[in-house]
Amino acid sequence: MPVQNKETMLKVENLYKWFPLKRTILDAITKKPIRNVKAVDGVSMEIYKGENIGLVGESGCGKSTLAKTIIRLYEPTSGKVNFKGVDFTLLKGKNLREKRTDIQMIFQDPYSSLNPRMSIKETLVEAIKYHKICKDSEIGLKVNELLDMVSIPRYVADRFPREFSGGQRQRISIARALAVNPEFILADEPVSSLDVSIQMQIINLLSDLKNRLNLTVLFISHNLRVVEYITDRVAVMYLGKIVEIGNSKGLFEFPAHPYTNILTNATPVLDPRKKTDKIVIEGEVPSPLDVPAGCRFHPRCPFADDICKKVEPEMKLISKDRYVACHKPLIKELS
Amino acid sequence: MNKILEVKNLETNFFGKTEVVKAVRGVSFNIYEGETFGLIGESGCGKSVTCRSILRLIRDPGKISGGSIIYKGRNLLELSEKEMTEYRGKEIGMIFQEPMSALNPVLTIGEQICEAFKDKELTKSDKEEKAIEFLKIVGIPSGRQRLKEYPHQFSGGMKQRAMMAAVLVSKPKLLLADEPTTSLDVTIQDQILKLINRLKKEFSMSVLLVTHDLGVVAEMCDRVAVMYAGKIMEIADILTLFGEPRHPYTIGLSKSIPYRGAQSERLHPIKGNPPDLSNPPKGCPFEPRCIYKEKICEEMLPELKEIKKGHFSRCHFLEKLENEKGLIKL
Repeated sequence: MPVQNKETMLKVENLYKWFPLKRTILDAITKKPIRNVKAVDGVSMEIYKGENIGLVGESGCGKSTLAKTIIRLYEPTSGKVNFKGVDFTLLKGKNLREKRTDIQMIFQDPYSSLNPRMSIKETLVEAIKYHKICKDSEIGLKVNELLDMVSIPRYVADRFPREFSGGQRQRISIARALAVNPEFILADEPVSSLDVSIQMQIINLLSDLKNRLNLTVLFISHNLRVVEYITDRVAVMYLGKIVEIGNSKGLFEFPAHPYTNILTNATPVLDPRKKTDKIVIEGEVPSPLDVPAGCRFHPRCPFADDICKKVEPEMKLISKDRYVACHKPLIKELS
Repeated sequence: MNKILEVKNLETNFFGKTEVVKAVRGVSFNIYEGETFGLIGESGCGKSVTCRSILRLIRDPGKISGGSIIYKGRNLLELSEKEMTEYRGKEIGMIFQEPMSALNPVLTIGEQICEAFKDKELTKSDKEEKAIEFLKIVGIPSGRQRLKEYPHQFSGGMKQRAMMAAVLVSKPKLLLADEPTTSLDVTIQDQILKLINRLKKEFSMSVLLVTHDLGVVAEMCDRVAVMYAGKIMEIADILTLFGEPRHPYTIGLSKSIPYRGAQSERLHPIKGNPPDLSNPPKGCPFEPRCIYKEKICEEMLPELKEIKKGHFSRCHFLEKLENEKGLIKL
């Protein structure tokens, strides 16, 4: 359900994360310019309190880097991340540690994100103790409460991650993220490694918990169908920049950015009568080392003309809640 | 239509130190000339093992323990290893899920494609010329340059194309594609699927497509078998499978996939997890997760019954499912 009264929880302003390539001594002597992988290349967005916002795009477009830069697992190259009035990028030491409990992350691969040498209980207790969430005497209760929340039976708390299936491990990762009572969850492809029948179990669990605990969620995924189903709004990312944001209801049905349109059309339709032989888009995403000038999508865009090659389009509001960075959006106005 | 492949009661087991994992437990299906046959199911259901068993690519501790695989009238399971090499590549080609691990990282793409030419008469430069031709067919431009490159210099989509080129060299009649697009992005997936469709026509091949994605199935297949816990649960033509699924597992899958406009509704995923195949249940393997189950399901495995011509389902209570809807309205 779209959020009614919009209160900004997180505001990202002009965030950049560039990874410089290694230079040899020869490069330095000959004064070759430093080359950067521009993973996040000027992202601005607002996330409202209580919403579930999706972030979609192809692999390598910078979705995960954006999430990790927001939570400061990566240091941003420049830009601001304003979380409830505090600039997250400036926090240090104890302040950062305290604030981090407000934002938690769930990772894609539950096989590598849980410590194989720690039992489920130890994993949860570690998070609770490190952030001093409750009195030592109440830790046992808290662990039980967390396990109940994600429907993992209490009696398995002493088992190790290897004894659980992928879906159960993802439940445990969710419990660990919730252990420190966060307000904001960054879920980075939380169901991509799971089977279809298990995927929906986790997604329903996430949306139930979101409603119950009044969480705000940034849901990163490359699966448009899942994103459309569970999110209120969606941001589409291409080569380090957000190209379109809008309400999930309608965004994929009436895309304004040609890239959103292509992503939608490339997703197989669940109807054998609608198959075609026509290829949706030829070629591949350019390297983030050499981002094209002008609009970064212009070399692949069927509608590109001169202005697109020269001028990078600004993010514009084209209708209620729909922003698009395109000189020639596919729809001018939404009714 | 002529059958190109007939799999009968295939059984493949993996012998561990303490237990036997029964990955494929009596699977039977036919593939007809010119069709794309889909094998779908979740990870661990035995679809890939079935696919590999056809080419006898099962390594120790795995073993094909029973059944037959009839290709153009000959049982592949009775052939000697030497005779089998005549079928691998030349008659039946295979592409894999992870092109990175299927290609040899220390050989150039050119060496790997040229290796596939079995004709001893051809000189090295003849082979290279032909390889360039095949690269062009699969949509890799400037082949002369790319032949000298290594797999790590290719993107995921390009690696999959290069693998296709190497397979096409021997002009197989049956292509086994094991999750060919699972590791790729949607736009690249779209390109590769359409490439497979085009090549299927150009080289008049039949295709066995293994996947877990119903969307890919809709895009590609003529007929589909749904696998669960080492058994086929339902076989149908594509329209029937999407319009009138008649197995609780297929119906459950259809209900757990979000579709356009599903936003306001709550989807109902299948509860629970698939069974452990080292100790498969005596009755219907789907029974623990099934919402239609009754006492008999726990005790007796249902037969694969024909509902209408070409539509088979393995369920005791087909009459309960008559009004269930699928993903599309026929």
